[in-house]
Amino acid sequence: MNDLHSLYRRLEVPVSRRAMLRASAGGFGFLGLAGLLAEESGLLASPSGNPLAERPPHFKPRARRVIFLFMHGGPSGIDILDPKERLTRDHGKPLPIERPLAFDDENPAGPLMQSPWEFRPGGQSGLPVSDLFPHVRDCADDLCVIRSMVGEGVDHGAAMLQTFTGTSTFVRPSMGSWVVYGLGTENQNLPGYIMIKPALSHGGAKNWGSAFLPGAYQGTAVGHGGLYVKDVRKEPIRYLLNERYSPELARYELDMLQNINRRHRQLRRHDPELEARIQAFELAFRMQAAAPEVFEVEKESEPTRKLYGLDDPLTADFGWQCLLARRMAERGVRYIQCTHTYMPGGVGWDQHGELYAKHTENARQVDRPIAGLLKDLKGRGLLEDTLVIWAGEFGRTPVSQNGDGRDHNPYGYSIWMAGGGVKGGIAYGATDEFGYHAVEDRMHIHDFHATMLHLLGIDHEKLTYTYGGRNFRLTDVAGVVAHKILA
Amino acid sequence: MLALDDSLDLKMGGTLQSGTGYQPENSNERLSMDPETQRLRTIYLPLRRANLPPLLALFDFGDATTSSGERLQTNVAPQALFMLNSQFVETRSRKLAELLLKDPGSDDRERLNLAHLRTLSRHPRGEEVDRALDYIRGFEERSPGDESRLQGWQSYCKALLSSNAFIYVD
Repeated sequence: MNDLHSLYRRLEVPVSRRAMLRASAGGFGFLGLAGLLAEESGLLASPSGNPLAERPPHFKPRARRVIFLFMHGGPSGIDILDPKERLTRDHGKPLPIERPLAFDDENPAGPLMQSPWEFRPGGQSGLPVSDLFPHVRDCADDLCVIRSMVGEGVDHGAAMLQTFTGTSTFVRPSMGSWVVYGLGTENQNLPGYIMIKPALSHGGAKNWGSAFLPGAYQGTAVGHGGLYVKDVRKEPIRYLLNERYSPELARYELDMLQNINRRHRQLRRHDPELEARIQAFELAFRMQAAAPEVFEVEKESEPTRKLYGLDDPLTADFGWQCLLARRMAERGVRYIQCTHTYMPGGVGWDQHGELYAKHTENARQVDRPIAGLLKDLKGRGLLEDTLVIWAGEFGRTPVSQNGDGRDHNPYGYSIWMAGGGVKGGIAYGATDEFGYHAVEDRMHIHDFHATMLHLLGIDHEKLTYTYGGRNFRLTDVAGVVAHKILA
Repeated sequence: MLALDDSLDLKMGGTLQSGTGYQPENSNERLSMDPETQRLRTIYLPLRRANLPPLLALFDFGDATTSSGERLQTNVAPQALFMLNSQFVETRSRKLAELLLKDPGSDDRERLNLAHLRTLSRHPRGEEVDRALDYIRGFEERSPGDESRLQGWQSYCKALLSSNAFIYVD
């Protein structure tokens, strides 16, 4: 079709029979192929040519957006969400089962270690949460705790890569990229996929990269984990701000550019790329005018800022991230991550030693902000269609290490979800009596991805992209939706 | 773009390795190489396959872990923001403008000729000349100051560098 069109436009002479046949045959062939591809993925149709245009899901979604609260380092599920009486009873005794592959064999495992924290029932549901998270415990009735997560990586790099991309070994599109590839985004003046202060370590940019998906689907970083919030705020997104020109002068320059571009296009009408790039500049101009507003967290009311813990230096960093995430969610950003990582002055959740002191410090930094986020989303009616996920890359072992720490454990660990179509106040799945292996309703990372996509209205088996001669999925050839947790 | 304003470093050999490389890979201080600050040819750009610079990813750089038969081409607003607001494009357009204004003996038409030859490999067409010179004068009026003339030319150079005519080869 395109070829035929351009032949008429470009040549403005009668078309030969041969050219006509060739162009129309190619045209019809292409129409068929496009139809086939659209059917295959069910989502790709984007009449505007804008890769981020909003697209209908496969079926009615329960969640329209995701806020992923990533706890870098591996928080200990058995100290937060999965109480184990056996550990208390047999504290100090050797592990009576075979120990699976561990990360750190230079510091051999010690005996079973009880949790230093008390668990208490929260909310009406009585869902137990430990004293590490008293504020989150107040929101227990909204939490869907998954106690049976399973991954394959025993080291941070592999485990994070799998958490974010589904594979622990290759560079593949990240889950946020798959989501915006599938659904586009609601607000064209903001990026559709935003990573707030992402960790540069353990995989760095590939954890929010688009790999072989088009670059339009990569995550946009707001600063990185090594920066203080005050520095992130100076230039929250690279290239977003034009500090050299007034808006009027910037428009004057852009008008010149578009003038050049439009004259150029007039002579080359057959190429839709030219118009697409003209529109990309207009969108960029709108974006630089509209996007800074989302970062004006200081305009929030005093009670709101306090709710997120912005009044306390200990919670101000993660509180800022969570409040920013709510502002982005409100404005139609599809996928947002807040990151608690090895931040300046912080230690991350990787407690091979000093579990009590360091987990306490980490939890205090995030507990109030997370509870604030859940309450605020709920109060604004946003929790209904926002899926909030709290997770690390793995959990920690029931046996001690270095006396008072725990090693990595990807064989059975806990995360939670809230809002966006999941049941509240429940615990799904179970680990063995030590909390080492998931034994009931195991949720492999592939299953987790399948379930997240399902909540967004996407069939994970149909969300495919053809690359290198075959179709790829976020869930590879695996993934089972956990229907039991759907509200 | 580096070549246009004579900034491309044609030296053979050397490396664009960032830092000394002794920081651990998992350090939050270790950013991947920033192509924005470099002037050597791309062949000397080391790629950490596992950690591609975001700028390259922005412009659909290929997957560095497998062979790819075809590069993707997307056209999105963040790429346009790079052209509008990045330090790299700011520096390139300024250097080009400085080069055009270097010779006080030449007149503005000759300068414009040079600008178009360098960026688009052709002379400006009749009405383009008046429009460009009007634009530069207009910019100077809108942004008065010591550097307004340089800034006017810089702005026009930036428009040329951002234009479809510059990016797409017919």
